[in-house]
Amino acid sequence: MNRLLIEILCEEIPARMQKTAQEYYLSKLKSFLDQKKINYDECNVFLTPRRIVFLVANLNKIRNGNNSQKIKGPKIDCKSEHLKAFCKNYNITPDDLLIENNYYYCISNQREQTIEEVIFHSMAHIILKYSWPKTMRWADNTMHWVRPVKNILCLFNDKIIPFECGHFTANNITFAHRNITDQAILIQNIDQYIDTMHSGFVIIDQEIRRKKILKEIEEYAQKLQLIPSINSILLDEVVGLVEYPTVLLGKIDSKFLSLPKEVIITSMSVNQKYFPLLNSDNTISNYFIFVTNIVLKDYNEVIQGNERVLSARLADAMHLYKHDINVGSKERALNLDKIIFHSKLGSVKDKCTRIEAICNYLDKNNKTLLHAAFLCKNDIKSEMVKEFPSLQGVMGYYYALEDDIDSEIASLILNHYQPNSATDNIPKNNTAFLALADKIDNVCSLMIAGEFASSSKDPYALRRNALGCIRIILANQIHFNIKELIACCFTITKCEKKNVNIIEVIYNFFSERFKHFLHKKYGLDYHIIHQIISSSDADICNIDTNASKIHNFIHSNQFEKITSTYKRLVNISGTSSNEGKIDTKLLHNKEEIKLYDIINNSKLCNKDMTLIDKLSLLENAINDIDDFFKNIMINVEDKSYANNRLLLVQNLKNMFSKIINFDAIISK
Amino acid sequence: MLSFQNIIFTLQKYWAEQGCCILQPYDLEMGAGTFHSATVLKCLGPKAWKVAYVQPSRRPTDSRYAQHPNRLQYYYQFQVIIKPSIDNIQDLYLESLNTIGINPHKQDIRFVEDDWASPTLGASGLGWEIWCNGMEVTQFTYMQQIGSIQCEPVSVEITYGLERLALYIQNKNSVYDLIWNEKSADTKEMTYGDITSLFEKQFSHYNLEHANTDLLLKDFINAESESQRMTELNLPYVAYEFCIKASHIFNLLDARNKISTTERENYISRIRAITKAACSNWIQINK
Repeated sequence: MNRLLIEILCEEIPARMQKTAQEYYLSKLKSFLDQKKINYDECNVFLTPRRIVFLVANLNKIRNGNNSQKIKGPKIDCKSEHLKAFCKNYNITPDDLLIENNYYYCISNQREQTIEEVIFHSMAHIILKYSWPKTMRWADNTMHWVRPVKNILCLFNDKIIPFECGHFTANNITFAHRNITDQAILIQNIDQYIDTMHSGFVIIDQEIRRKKILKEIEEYAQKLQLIPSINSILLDEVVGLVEYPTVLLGKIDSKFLSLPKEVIITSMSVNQKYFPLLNSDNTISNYFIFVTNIVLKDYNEVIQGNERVLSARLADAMHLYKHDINVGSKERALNLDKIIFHSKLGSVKDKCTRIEAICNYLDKNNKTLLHAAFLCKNDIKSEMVKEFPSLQGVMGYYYALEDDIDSEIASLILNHYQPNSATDNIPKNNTAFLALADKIDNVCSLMIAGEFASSSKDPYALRRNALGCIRIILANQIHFNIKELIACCFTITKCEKKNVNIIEVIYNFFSERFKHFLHKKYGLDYHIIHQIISSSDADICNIDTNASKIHNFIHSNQFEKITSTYKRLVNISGTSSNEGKIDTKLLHNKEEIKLYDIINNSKLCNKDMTLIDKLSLLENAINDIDDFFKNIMINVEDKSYANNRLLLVQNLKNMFSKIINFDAIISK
Repeated sequence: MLSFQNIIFTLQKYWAEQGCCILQPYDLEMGAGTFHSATVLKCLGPKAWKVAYVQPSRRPTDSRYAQHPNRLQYYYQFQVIIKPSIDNIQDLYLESLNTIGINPHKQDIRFVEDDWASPTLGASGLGWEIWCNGMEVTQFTYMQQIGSIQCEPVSVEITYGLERLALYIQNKNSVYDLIWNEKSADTKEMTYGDITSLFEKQFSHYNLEHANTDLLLKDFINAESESQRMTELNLPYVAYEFCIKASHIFNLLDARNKISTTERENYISRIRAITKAACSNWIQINK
């Protein structure tokens, strides 16, 4: 049975890049083998931080019974030197040429390549083609790679395939786990490689490493009757940081357990890549889990080292937390007017004042809401938030509780940054108002101050804030005129040289975001969305409802009939867009008169009618239009009648397309 | 268990044995060993270069009046530059740890992705932070560009955090408890705190409370214009020295909260501009 082994050994590959690279190489390798007509039983790509391994089992070349290939040459009307070059390239005379479909062909009797030859010629390209998220050069080599490459190994059964890749020539050398030995190991065959990896404490299969970690974590958890909290992204990262994982247990000094849970978890996971163990009531226990790469009989020193590091971090956090509590919320609140929010917009205290005003607009005289608005930025310059910026809001919650603030208000402070991402919770009730007020103030005040989002840069996350507003408004069905709210924001924002024209600009910015949102949600064409927005009031919930109705209508059977009627009108209208006047004296048949009435009525119906209603109008007109086509012939002998009837059709067509952009819908 | 000074001697000896010239620190205030012209200028251009040196580094914003166990405004980095980078540099680094008492076969040493960048220097590189049983002790970087100029060939930079390493080796929790020297019959044992606490305290007061920011703002402008003038006179070493000064002045202003978020970008790009000019001039006169 044929086997192929390729190992690219390099310096530590960033953990976050490994999964994507593995998926890329696996798919590329498989399609390469398929393309070269090489069958296989199993094809695997394994990744450790130090090596990428391709392992293919039972390769067999599908023999093309006929070894000859028909090769396409230049067109028959090509220049003679092109034809000469083609003949020379394939070692044939003009007599050997075939002609097919205006092209020259020749039959080439090339010997089919062996698997080894295929690998030798193509593997380097496959390896180097991947674009890592970041690459680097090293020494004076021209090769680019994610980290410096140390060696490339390539064995086909027990034979080295010495392909060249960068400044490397593939050989049969490998290295075991760094802690076991740093001696080079010569590999004679693929079985020996597998054994060497095994005895050398390298688990090349990332899935096996992952399972080993999960199993050992579970064992510790069971023994201690605790619940491990395993963040899968962190787990992936940890899998990519080890060649041979061993799970270890560390202890947290109980004096640190009085710290807020989020603080301990952030310190532990974000900075140290540890996993917390929780008690059955979801509080943090005084044990933590970490994964080590080293293989030892006695792990005491390693555990102690890690415990000390965590201790130092938590001691730091404790110190900051106590300092913040000592300073107290009142002091921090007073200092908010010394912290600049933006050079043109004044202090954070000014921002809180604006948030309060917007909250009052959204839900008048809601005392709880107003109080929360006043306090919601209290943690901004706390030492904790300076050290752990992701805990903004969380610390605000704890500090509010420390100050005996009502827990409902504390929760408002905690959650008012939601939704923080596409998958995050969308807040409800009072939290929704506060979150909305904060985000809408971000967009309006910053744009008033002259900050914008370009296609490549959006340093103030204006787009994300605007989208957050839209999602909150819809999830809570908060009805209000957004233009008016923007105007209100303009009034309450103190900013030098503010220009009232910015209101329209901000409204358009929200509009653009909303259009993208609706397009994603309903799949409606942008032209249609634009029509819906321009024909609605500036209430986001209403616009969304209209869009939903239109979406449903467009996918209904009735609409099918309308579009086919429209297509018919288009076909008959022809290309001449004749907006001439219809001569009523020439209208004799009831079908013609009916159509004329329909056209006139639609001219009367104005913008006050919703799009849905106008579409219903069209629906009602279909039968009459069908009657017209059934009973009236347009191309009659008398040109004036023919023309008049054509005008009817054209006017009808225009009426249709004024109501909704059918061309956009049909082209889908 | 090595004393602080012995850790330095041992590292110097080790890298000298690997062919590095042991240089002395640059005699100006700077934020990291990277700012030494032995790194910024000498990593540019084609000439080979192998050096190691201690560099006292200053970070005014980290002033803590000698009250914090491991954060200081003045600390020591050990910097190694090997140009062009060599294939077994990771192994050499691990062996260097062994010489100071951290056995890479007994401690969990990891290379964790950390790409370094300095916007003021227009410099960036790819590499790792080195963890020893969970604690970061070294920055390991393959320099890709400096002064916005590509490094050809690429240098590898190893920056040891000496205090961090010493805390681990001596099993201490506070830098001020680190043993600085070797005790003997007639030599008193000195701690890190004995030598530096008062310095730390006084400079913390200066950095956070007393630095004259009006003077500093003028100093920045002067450093900036002198740097430009020196570049025009084709004296890149001198021009670059003014960049170092400008950078430290910026750090002092920052520690006194005199730089708003919007102004920060502006200052950084000004330092980057004079650094780029000095580096370009360096490349030019070295042709």
